Amino acid sequence: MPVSNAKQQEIDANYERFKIVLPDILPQYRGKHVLLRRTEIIEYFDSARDALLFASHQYPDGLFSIQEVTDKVIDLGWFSYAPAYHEVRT
Amino acid sequence: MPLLTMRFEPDLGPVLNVGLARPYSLLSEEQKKTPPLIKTIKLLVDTGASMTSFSPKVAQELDLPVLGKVGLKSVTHIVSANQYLADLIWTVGTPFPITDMKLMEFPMADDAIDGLLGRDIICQCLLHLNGPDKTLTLAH
Repeated sequence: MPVSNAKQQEIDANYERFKIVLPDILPQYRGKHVLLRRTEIIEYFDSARDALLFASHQYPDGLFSIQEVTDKVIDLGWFSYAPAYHEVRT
Repeated sequence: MPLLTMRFEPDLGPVLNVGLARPYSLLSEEQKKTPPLIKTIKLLVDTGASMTSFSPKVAQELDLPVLGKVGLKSVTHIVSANQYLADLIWTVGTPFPITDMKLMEFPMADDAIDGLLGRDIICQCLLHLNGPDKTLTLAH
């Protein structure tokens, strides 16, 4: 089942908020997992699984997202620079 | 240490079959009574990739829980992609699950593979590539 539009919009909005607050929360929470809902920070967890278990119980509508507090970006090597990605995702 | 030696096509590279499933730890007691749905996927062993990834189609088929997004390097800037939680069933030696892995989606232009096996997993292994013999050995 594809991610619903509402869920994807929630994830996208939370991610934009996360990028803004990251410099402020990084020193204290590096490596933790932050739960966001409606662009607000709810709680920090040691693992993504713990955050997901809590959020699934707390928010049955599924409208939340979980971000690892890190400034690292993913590098897929050669694939990162393949134009196909941009054609599909944008 | 269990090891697997496989032949590979130089045009494509070494491809490893692994299993992928919804995280067992997130299943309800009722769901745990039935065998979990495990999908076998083909991952290109890619030492250039920092994280293991798979096509969005795989995430949809398994209804994997989406966590959030991760930043991904591109030619000119940082793009983003959805990240999921999944159990990856390792097939080197006796199959066993690597539970609660954070994996990202990445559209594959080539149907020959479903994704990339990145350094988050490769770095747990001993890897030996024999170019002239066209074989790759993974020990875990």
